[in-house]
Amino acid sequence: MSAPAPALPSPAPTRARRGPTPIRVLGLATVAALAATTWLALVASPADVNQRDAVRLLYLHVPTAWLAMYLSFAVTTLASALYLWPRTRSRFWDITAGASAEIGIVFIGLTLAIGSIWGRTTWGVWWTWDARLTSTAVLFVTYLGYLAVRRIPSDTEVRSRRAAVVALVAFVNVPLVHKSVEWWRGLHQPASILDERRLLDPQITGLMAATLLVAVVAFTLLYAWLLVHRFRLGWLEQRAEDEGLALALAERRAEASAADASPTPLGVGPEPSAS
Amino acid sequence: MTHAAYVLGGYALAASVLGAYVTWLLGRTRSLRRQLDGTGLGQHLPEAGSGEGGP
Repeated sequence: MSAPAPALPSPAPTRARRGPTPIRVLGLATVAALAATTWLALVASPADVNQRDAVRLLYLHVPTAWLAMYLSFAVTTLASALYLWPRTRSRFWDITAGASAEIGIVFIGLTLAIGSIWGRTTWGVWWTWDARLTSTAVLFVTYLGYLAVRRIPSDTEVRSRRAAVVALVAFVNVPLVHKSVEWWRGLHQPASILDERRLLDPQITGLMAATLLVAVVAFTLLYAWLLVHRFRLGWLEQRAEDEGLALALAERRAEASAADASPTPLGVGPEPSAS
Repeated sequence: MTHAAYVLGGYALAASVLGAYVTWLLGRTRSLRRQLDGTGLGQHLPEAGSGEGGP
């Protein structure tokens, strides 16, 4: 088990409450980028010829999918691999993996929900068992399982190692989700940007492409801000767990010492030694 | 319903979920830090890039 981080001298209370300056700057940049995305998506960018205003859901659907699948779950996988690697094994990577997965789950849930709304406007149905939709739903459930594994009561190191293995296995589904629109052609359209054949001939141009780019940048910043804060919470939870365990052990030891020291009531108990 | 209504509904849903998650995250951090303040453990939080708690 990795040694817990030492309790270092306290920073000034105000800084501790608001967070260090780079994180605050990151937070402000995230808010500004999200505001710009909302304005571009809902006001400035044009409606689509075929989909009309429904195309504006693209600027939410694609960035949330990017954040969840290609960023959060990739970071979870990388952090889990680094945790499993004996030379880099550290609680830092375990907490990072858990934090990133939780953020990914929130956003993959949003991807499914917004995709469902978009599907209702373009396909006429809230849900269909299309390969992309189904594999994404499986991915969502898989990572929920990963979070459940992290909560199984166990020794910290055993639990972390078990979760890291599950994370590596769970990531296998990500390329399947990505390729599902090519391997099983269903209702969902193929990738517009993240396709090697379309990188030089994108299907989206002009202000629509710029809006999508700003949205992806905004959600990437949002991910970074959320990850820092979720990591801090995970670190505190770990410390609280360690503290709780230490207190419980101290109480048990105190109880055991008290029982040894005090005379047994009613004369029941082990006989005193003959010597 | 018009397309605009679906679009606004989607954006409202995203804002609500994100707002709820951020509220929970910051609230839970604050309450846990208060809880640990008594032990002195909650005073210092690791900072990104500080290397604390890192490999």
